[in-house]
Amino acid sequence: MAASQTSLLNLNLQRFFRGEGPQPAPHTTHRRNVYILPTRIGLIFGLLLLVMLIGAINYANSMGFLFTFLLGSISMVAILHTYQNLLRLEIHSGTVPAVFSGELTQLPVILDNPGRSNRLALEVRLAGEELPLLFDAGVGQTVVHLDLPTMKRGRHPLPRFVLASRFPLGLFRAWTHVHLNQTYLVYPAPATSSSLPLPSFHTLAGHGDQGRGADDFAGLRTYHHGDSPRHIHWKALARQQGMLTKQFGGDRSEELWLDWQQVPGEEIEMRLSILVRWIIEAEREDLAYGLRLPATEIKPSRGPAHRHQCLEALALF
Amino acid sequence: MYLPDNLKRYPPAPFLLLLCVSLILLPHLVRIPLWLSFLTFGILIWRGLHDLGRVRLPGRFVRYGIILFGIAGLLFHYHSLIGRQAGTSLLLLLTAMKLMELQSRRDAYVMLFLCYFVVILGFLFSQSIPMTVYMVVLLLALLTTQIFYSHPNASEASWRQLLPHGRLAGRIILQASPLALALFILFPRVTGPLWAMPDEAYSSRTGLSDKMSPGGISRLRNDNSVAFRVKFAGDPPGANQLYWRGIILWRFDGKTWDAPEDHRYYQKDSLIPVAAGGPALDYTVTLEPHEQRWLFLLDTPAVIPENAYLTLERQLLTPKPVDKLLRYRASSYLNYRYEKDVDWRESPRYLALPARVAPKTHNLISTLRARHSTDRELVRAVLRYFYDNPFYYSRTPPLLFDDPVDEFLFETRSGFCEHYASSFTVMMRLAGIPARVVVGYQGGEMNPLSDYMIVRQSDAHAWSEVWLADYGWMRIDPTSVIPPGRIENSDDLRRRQPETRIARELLQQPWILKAYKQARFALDAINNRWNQWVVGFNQKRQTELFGALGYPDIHWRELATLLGLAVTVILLALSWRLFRMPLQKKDPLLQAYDRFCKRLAAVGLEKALSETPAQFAQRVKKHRQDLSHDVDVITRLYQRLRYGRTVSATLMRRLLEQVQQFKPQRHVT
Repeated sequence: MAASQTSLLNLNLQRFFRGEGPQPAPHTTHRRNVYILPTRIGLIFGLLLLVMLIGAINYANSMGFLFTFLLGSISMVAILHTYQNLLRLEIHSGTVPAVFSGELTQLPVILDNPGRSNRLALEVRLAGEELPLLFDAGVGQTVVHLDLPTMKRGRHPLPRFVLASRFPLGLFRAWTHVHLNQTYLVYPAPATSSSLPLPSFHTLAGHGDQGRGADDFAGLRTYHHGDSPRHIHWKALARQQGMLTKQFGGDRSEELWLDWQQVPGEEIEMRLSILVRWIIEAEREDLAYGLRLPATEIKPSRGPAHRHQCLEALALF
Repeated sequence: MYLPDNLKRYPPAPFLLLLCVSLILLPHLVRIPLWLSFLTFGILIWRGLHDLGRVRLPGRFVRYGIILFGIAGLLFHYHSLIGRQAGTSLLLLLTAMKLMELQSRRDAYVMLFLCYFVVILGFLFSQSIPMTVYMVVLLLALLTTQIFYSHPNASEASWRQLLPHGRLAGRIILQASPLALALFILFPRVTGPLWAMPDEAYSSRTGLSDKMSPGGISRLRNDNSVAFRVKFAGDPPGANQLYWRGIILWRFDGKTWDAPEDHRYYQKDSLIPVAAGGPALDYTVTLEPHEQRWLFLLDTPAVIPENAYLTLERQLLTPKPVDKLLRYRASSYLNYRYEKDVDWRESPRYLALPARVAPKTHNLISTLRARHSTDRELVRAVLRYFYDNPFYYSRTPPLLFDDPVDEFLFETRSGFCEHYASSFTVMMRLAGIPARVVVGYQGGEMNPLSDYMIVRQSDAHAWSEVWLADYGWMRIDPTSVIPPGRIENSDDLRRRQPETRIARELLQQPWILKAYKQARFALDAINNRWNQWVVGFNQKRQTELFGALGYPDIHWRELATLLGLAVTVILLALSWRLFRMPLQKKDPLLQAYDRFCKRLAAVGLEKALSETPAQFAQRVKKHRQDLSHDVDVITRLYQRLRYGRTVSATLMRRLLEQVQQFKPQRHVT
């Protein structure tokens, strides 16, 4: 009995301090997940009211009583206003752009306000952060971007963030813990660029007509989404012949394999970082590349989708 | 926008704060020393210039220097830092100085709280209706400022928030007022102060003083402010009975009458029985604060009001100066006799006179004494003397110098009530008749719009009391023997007229005069209500109120329970109102399309969320060929209205009509 009470208490305290744990989006604020407490300023105000009340009693001053009671009532009404400022909001998150570990990404917080009144002076901050981001949410949808530092590669659960408000009088702070059960991806940090050049193509080259270089023009085909803009046949486009992509012959571009086995070193993270650097270099030089990891193999290609696929494989390695 | 705590983020708020502080200082300016007024306004201007970017704020040493200088000045001026006046002045100084170190949002809040405190201090000095209205306006301004400080917004367009934020502040005050009212009525009141504040020399005393010398009362002749209001239990007595006995003066130094404080008080139950002709008259007095201890009762008190003391002269005193509205129940015998058995001729108290006072008067009394053997006859003879000789009653009597009594009786012969009372009492004492001076009010006018009497400062009066062996103490008003023809400015109304000539001429018109009087009485009736039910609301009033509602002798525990109940109910009602938030009205176009979808869903064709209207229409047509025309029309109209470039009311109307007529039947395939 006592034990269950303790656990119930723990649960409630946990909810009070941390929220209810990851929940599916959207997080809808209602009376059970919005908390409110006086701010430090609010406590000072309470002290002031007490002094005023004692003064009014001592001097038996009727208007003193009335004014003190009015201020007290105003602060009670302020509780309701502050609380209401957070009620009935739907909060969800947009996709967090994947970045390399150590970089700053942004968590898009999407706020739906179905009411007819603006919600002013909202504060949102990541759990553990000091400074909140301040914004007003009008009627309808509002998006704000929270800075989210990344530390480790991999797929991470979205961190908890806190939506709060002290509006209108600053005497009370209402807050709700938003913990969405979504994830975001962090790529491994790339190795420093000068450390390792791209593996030599020639050693990697398979079969093909070796007489022609990689840059040799091979022909045109219709544009596919994801083709590099450098290869679009702009002149044809100007002549209104439609979007055409120039194709190049040559084996090298087709056959660049970034192979786990080829990466020097023993440490896994280091080797992953080098592979990431190679992908960046290959992208920069607009080469088609494939990725070969002990368990997976990604066929050579190029473009953002391919890049993401490769980096994701590395991130989750 | 990260980082909240920087005052630059609240553009109009510092300006509003400055405005609030100036408005708050305004009513205090007349009370604080002049140098402090200049100092505080100097500080305000400094801060204003700083906010405009013109000057820098003073450093810490300068700030502390100013505060120390101010405190020293206050100590020099008041000899204390506590008490009403000195405390308020100190707080004003500190409030102004706080402006000098306003850096963060928290400072701004503290500043606002100081302002609230100064506002409440203002009520220690005045609780009148205009003051209250002013304070509510100030509260509105302060709350608006506080809202601005709670709404960080660095853009200049924040000025545009002034109206919405002001409206929000007003709404908050309105929403808070039922709760405040419940607290005001139900909060258990305690009587008496929790601790005594040091008495202080009040700078602005109104009304009578505890001394009487020529000219002391006549200065009140132009003062129309209310001294007290009286509500009689029955009919009010006649005008010649309305002697409001206040201060009894028995010591005379040749010019001035006073009464040295003696601490012998009669016990409550040992009030000497008064031989009265007729029943006692019951009434309630609401006394305006006069910063003195005496109470005013009709001559002569039959019972002692609560918390009052009776002195040897049957004068009633409160334990401490009346510094707020005081309401007391009183009862008086209009016909009375007392102290017939005490022979006051054996005591010098009411016979003593300074040596060589008024030699001419002395001669006069000796002559009269030779002719009239009994005291009663002598009193009559002296009054006759005033009547027979050309004595005048004047608002502006000539000044008296060396021996006021002789000069008045034999030279100027024109004076105000204090001249008559003083000379008469001296004459009585010269004749060996115990006598003393009474200062109080005579008269009063009924408010025709209500049922109470107003007694004003201009009704101040002085008269005498003499002790006769066969009677006891008897009230004699020597002024009353002056015939009306010898009274200057006898018209009671004229002396209350506004001083400007135009107003006086206007008031010659009977209807304007009537309207003016009516308006004044109406205003006074409102003031009286305010005083009775708001300013004078205390434990007694609270008990009375609940007694009238059928709960006599309500205990504070019951009050506390009621209070808790009321607060809960009001807060629940308020939160219900606030939280029942109206949702956005849906777009009529979407509403119409929704209705269309609902009707199709009713016949088994539900639109998937992922389907576009066109895809949905396609699917419907495949299943129900009979509906294909209507579905096509509605879908096309919807698409044109939703995605088209122009807004067309005609198309909208057609869509609504189509949807209205669209009633698909469930049909069996």
